[in-house]
Amino acid sequence: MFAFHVIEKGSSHILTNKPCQDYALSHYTKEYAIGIVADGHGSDRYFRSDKGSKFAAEVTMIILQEFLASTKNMTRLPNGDWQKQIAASIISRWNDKIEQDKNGNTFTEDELGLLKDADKARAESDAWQFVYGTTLIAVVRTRECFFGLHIGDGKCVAIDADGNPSQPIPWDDDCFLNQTTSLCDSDAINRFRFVYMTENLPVAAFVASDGVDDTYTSDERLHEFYLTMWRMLQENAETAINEIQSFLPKMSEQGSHDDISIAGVLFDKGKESHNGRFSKFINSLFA
Amino acid sequence: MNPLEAVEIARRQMTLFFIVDTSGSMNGEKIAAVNTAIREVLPEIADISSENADAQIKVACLQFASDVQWLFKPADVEGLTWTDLNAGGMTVMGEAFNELNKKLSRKEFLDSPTGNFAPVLFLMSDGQPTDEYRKALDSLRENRWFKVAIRVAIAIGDDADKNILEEFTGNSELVLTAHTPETLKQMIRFVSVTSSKIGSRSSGIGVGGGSANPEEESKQAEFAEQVKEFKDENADLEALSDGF
Repeated sequence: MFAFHVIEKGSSHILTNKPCQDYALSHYTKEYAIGIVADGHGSDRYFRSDKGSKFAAEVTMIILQEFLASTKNMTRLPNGDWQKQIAASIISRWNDKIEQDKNGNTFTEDELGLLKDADKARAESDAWQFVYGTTLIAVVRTRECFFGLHIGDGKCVAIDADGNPSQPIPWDDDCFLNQTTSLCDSDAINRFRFVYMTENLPVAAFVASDGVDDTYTSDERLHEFYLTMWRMLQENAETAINEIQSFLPKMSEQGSHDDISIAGVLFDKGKESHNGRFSKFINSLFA
Repeated sequence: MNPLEAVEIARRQMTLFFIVDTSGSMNGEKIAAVNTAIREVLPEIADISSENADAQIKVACLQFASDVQWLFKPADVEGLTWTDLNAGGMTVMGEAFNELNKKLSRKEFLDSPTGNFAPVLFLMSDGQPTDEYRKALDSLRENRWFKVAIRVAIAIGDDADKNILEEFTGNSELVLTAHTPETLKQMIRFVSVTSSKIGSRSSGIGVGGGSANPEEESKQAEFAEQVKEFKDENADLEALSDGF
């Protein structure tokens, strides 16, 4: 198993002196790999979305690790409730985290000054959570299964053992142009989409913020990008991650101009993998 | 070289839709002015497209008379040559609205919400619909691409049904009235260039959340402001008596 993540502040955020509002985390053991990306909303309305995305990724990592530690058999989980329970836990703990942050750092006049009157009134009411708004995508590969959960835009691209890319998490038509569903939505629990697979498992899966999707605007290009990344990771993971990270500023500058975050989970299929190159790479990691 | 650099970074697309009434009453000076104006403005839009790092501009043209026909489906404006429209027949505006509604879709012309900016919908007409348009227009107004589009119309002459054009644009300020061929050409150029510039620009920042698309709303508002300024500066043009 292997996992990685990279984050880069967008060129437009550099120009406007805004913080990077993306956040990503990854973690792997011999038994599983986790990749998480969160993209805080970009307009001035969401003035704490950089914190919102960080909290989202952090609570999700904890919850997924707790789930994996407490679940014995990953092949017999019924689709549905357990995934919704994970999503509910994420929403609940994310709300706890943003409340702690707000209580410890009350909204400043400068922050509230960024809002139009209606939003300012909302930020000063009980419905202030939107200022932390963020998307979230998380994927997990174990030896027995692959699962993922997603709210908002951004995409997950998985690659099967034959090197075929797909997008296993259904798209949400409510994510349209710059509009996206969000962890801050009052009905966030109903906005999550899921994938759970126990057969024909992907050997790699990548999740990324829309800074990537808006750069490679067709699925064909997007898939080519991830297939290239996957081949690089098979050759030499450390070199590949350095090359991926070093490419991101150019990608943002020439593409979406947005923040970019990518996380990936990879699994070796042993003799079935591509001429054993990936096996060699995995073996070298655990040597 | 970093292998990732070999993957082509594609610009997003913004499509300018010309929706042109080519009924019999458009015959003569009116359709000639439309053809001349669009043919002359296309190279200018091509320049806007080629100099724009954010978006590639495409142009489509739907004509409606006794039936509807795509003169161009969305095509790259760079290198596009205009084919003259000919006028004759009835005014099936309702059918045109239905056809536009069908094509403003992920499954048709706007195949990717991440690959497209909201389009520009530019309607030109000199008369009244001869078919049942109400249901078609109501349905079109529910189309989500239509809602976020920059919408504008030119009423050609005094016989145009401005009420329908206003319903199409959603704002009476976004209906211009041309009374002479020269005015019509001037307006087509202004609308085409201004809407292309505004519509193809990216803020580069994902917005998210909330109930609207603030970037598109802001483009619509900016375009409306530009049209207002144009009207204020050229008040005499709309006040002319009908020369058609």
